[in-house]
Amino acid sequence: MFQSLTEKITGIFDKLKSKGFINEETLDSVMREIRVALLESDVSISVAKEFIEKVKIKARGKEVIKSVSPAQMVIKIVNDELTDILGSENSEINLNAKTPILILMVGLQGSGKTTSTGKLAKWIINNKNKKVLMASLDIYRPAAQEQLISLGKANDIETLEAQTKKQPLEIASIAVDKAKNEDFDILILDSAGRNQVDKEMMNEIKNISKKFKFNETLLVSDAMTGQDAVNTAKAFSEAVDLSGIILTRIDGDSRGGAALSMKHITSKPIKFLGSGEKVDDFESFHPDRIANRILGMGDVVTLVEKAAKEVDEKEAKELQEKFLKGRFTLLDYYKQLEQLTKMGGFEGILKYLPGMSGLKEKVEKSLENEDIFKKQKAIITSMTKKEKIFPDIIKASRKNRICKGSGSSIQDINKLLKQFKKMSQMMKKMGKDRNIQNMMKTGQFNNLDKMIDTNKFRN
Amino acid sequence: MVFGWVKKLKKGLSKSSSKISEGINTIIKGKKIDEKIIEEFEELLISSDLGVKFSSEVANKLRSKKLIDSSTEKVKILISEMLIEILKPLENKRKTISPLHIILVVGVNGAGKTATVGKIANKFLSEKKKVGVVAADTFRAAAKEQLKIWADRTNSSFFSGEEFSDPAALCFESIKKAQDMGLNFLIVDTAGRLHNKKDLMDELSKIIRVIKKLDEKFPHEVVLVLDGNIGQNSIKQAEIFKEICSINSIIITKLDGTAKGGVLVPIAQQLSIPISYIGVGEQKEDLLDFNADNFSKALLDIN
Repeated sequence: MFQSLTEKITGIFDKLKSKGFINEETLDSVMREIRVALLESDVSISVAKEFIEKVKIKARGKEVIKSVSPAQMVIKIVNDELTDILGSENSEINLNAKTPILILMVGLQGSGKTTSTGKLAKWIINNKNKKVLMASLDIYRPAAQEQLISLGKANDIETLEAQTKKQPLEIASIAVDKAKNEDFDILILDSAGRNQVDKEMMNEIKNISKKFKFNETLLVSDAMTGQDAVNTAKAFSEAVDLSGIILTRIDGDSRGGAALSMKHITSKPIKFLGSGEKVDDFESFHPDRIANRILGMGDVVTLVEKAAKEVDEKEAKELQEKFLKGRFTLLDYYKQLEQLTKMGGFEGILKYLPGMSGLKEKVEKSLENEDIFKKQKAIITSMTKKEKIFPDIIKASRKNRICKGSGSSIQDINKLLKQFKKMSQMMKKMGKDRNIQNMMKTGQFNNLDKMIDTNKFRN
Repeated sequence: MVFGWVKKLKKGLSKSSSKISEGINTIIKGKKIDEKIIEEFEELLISSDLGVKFSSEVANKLRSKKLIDSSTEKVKILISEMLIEILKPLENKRKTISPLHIILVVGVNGAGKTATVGKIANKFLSEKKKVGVVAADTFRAAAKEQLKIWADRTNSSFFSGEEFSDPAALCFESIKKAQDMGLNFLIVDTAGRLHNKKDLMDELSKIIRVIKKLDEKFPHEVVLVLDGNIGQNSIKQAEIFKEICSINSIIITKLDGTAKGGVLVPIAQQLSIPISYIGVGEQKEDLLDFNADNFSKALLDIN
């Protein structure tokens, strides 16, 4: 998400940086460009206008024009304003109430309500350790109830059995009763997709919303939504008492402008992001981090958190030792590949790093994505332990065996062995380099983008 | 017939058309067209997803025409002429029909592919053709069941496989069966995939590669389904799907809401992919042939 806006704004600022000073005229032209960038990113007109006005006033007030590094000053103001629109802090879901706590999911057709219902349920079970029940109120879309039920089955989440010939309001009552009688902490109701101009359907959701006391009513919205996001957000917040927004498909490459508009129109916080097709691809929303991402300043905090979740610290330390002493084996390399995959591959990592958004494309091209890693993992898995530790012993007949085992060609194996040898040599060299040792200890990768020569990733 | 089309489309687009045309009315309201008003027009058009490029073209046209004492009607006609000029070349006429005509339906998640497959099946059915549908979304929960219901609604033959099975193999088998059964049309409903996910796009290429083994001409058509609510990202989607599986046409769905499908304009300007149908509701009949004149008129509320 936001990639394009990041690139655009960075481009604008690059131009700005090349100017030693800024006068009123340059400031105006920069703001015009930012405005177009925002509009093309699907930020609604009213929001974009207001945003630009605020930034302009602040920029003048802070005497950006006379300051020593005006570009930096403008970047800071834009960043502050973006964070401000997106909400200034992370708002958690409210689960402190009498059980069963009721959550209602609403939104347009195809915005991702059902998938998000499953993800939210799983998130609550994993992070809050509560007993959760899900129920679908969608009697219109073919097989909608079945979809939620099979999501529940696949992920061990209790789901209300399919209800035929019942109205949504009745189904809701049945679900609430079940939640009460069977001591569920939380009940999530997945409503049918509806368009805000459909009066009958909007009345239906209004009635459901009034009949029960919902602790959370979440608007599920596609991050790729266009200018109409404003109308949707307005209509839903008028019909029901919204408490927050779930933004889905942020793993697409949309510019995510709808996020800004929705937040601004409803003045309700974005609470979660849906970031993939798997049930675990769900994260809570941190506005400051997203603002940084829009501006191309990276999101190291999320990366570190992700790493902490996926990487065993002790293991990482051991690896680092081996790395520096040049005692790195194919076994270790395999582990690294695994971790890399878990963290979303190179692509996944790069998008969080400052100043790396430009590099990302280059890496993508040279890597042919993660295919190489998959192949390499297959090859390594087909080796014996001895071969993994002492790859030098791999000669023709062993290669033939590995070939068959991994379904790859001799060339692939040769490539991997050659690359690994180079890597080990490089590591030994690096191990002797004090700067790099320091860098690894302090964890400061200041000039990482300059250090990484993308060609190195090529075979 | 034509009248029915416009009526249906207008009903579908009613809220949105009134938005643009009301916008035009409020902006002009008997005022002279000056720079400020032109800017307001530009913004109105951008806020209908028509894109920055088209909107500024309209603004420039208004400037050069100097329609000082213009009426709303004149402005609307001017805009609609510009729209028709862009959209007219994209009206899609199905040229040849093969004995077994295979249509692959692709798109991102939640665009409305399955419902659209059902509606296309219904269209062919009303032409007394024998139709089959393939549930090639073996990934999403209950996707198969959803299409099965559409198949029953439209009396189409239904082909499906096991959950998480290989969609390419399923398509291959289904086509062979369809050939034996002597079907006229086979519509393949693929899984939703974001265009920037390489592995999922590879899966799509694989489906095409595999069914080409049966006949180089397969599939005869690849249709991209776009959600009318989605903004400028639709352009990116169209661009990448075009590159990966050389789509022949676009269907834009959910135009019965406030979204107006304005994004068709920047897509037309940048990619010139024909538009076959537009989706205007949840019923099986709610799929209309795309017609540039009617679409532009309905969008601007011109009678």
